[in-house]
Amino acid sequence: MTADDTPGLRRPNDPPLLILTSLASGPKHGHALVKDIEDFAGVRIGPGALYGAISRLDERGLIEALEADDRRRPYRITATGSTALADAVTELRKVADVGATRLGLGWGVPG
Amino acid sequence: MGGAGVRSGRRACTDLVRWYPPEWRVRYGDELVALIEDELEGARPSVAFRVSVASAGLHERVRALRRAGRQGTPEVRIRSGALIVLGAWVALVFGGAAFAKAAEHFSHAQPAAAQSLSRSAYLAVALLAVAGAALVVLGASVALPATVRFLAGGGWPSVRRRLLVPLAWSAVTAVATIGLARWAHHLDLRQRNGADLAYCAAFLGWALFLAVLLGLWAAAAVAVGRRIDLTPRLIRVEGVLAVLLSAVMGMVTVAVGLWWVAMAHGAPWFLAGTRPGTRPSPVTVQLVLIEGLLAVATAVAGRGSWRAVTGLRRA
Repeated sequence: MTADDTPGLRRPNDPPLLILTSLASGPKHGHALVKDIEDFAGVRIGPGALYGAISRLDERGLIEALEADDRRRPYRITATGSTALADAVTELRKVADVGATRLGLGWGVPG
Repeated sequence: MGGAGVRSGRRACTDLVRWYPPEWRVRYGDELVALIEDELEGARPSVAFRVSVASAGLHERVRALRRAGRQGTPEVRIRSGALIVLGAWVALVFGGAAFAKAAEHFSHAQPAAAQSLSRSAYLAVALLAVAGAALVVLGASVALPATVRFLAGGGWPSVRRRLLVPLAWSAVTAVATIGLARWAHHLDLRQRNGADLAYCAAFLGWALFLAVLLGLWAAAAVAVGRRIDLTPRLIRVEGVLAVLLSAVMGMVTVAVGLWWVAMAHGAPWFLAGTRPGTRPSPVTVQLVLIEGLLAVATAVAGRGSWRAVTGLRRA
């Protein structure tokens, strides 16, 4: 499964992309995900949007649930999810590189 | 916060999750409640927060319906299609009631000879409304024995809340209707149609009550309709009735549009509420909203009807 055929992995602020990015550093439950995403992306995802995205990622096998701690169930990224995230960030990187090059920011790829 | 406060906060969180479909709640409900509690930290949810969770829950319900439609047996497709048409019919009833209010006394706006199209269109709306109501009553009658069996056979606890809330709301709406009717009795036509601002505000409040009431009964009907045990033959009958009902809804929408065109041509002042003989724009916010609601309800019914038709073909 690639970023192209996975809805929600095309724009930097898409909740599925933010969730996969957060889980790339280790398993987290809902509240920890919200806090981490707010820290690294400056985006506060509401509970409804978060669990909408979690259920879709879960259905597609991009994340998986771990044993629940009380009612707070942690999730971790799967191998398929890591591949989809790698594809997505590579795609985003291409666009970012072109933008940086054209703006002369110094870190873009010449071309 | 004391024990009672914690319990009421937890209850508020649990209530919010009720917007989600039952099967989704079984899998993610507890986690979502825990997350909401963590997010709120004991505070009461704001209106924006409630709307955000409710809209996400409704979105999940739409997804669940779509999934059921794609994956289900012909009977599941017919049943879910018929319930979609029923929900759309309720929205159309509200739009139809608003149209009846907007068209009140329209026959006084023109000479009788110039009214043939508007009168015919209005009559068609009225007749189609009766036909639609008859189809809904017929559908309910078909499902009644199974509903009684379901309630008597232990199903009552699973739909008690869904039925008691609209019942209570019906009582409140009935009292409000009597109060509003008594008030209207003391006002003249001009006051009832905008000159008395307090009455207008009360009327809008009553309309809102009515809309909520219709929505609650529709939700109750869908909740019961999903649970009752119908034979394949009865499910096919419900499917055919739903297809007929959506056709009636389409005709209502067209007839209201024709009435609008006829009035725009012959008496635009009536639509705009200006002096007779003037030529204001016949495109009023009220009629745009009414026709828009009817069109959306018809489109949703068409979708439900299509689902029922595909189920009927496979059955």
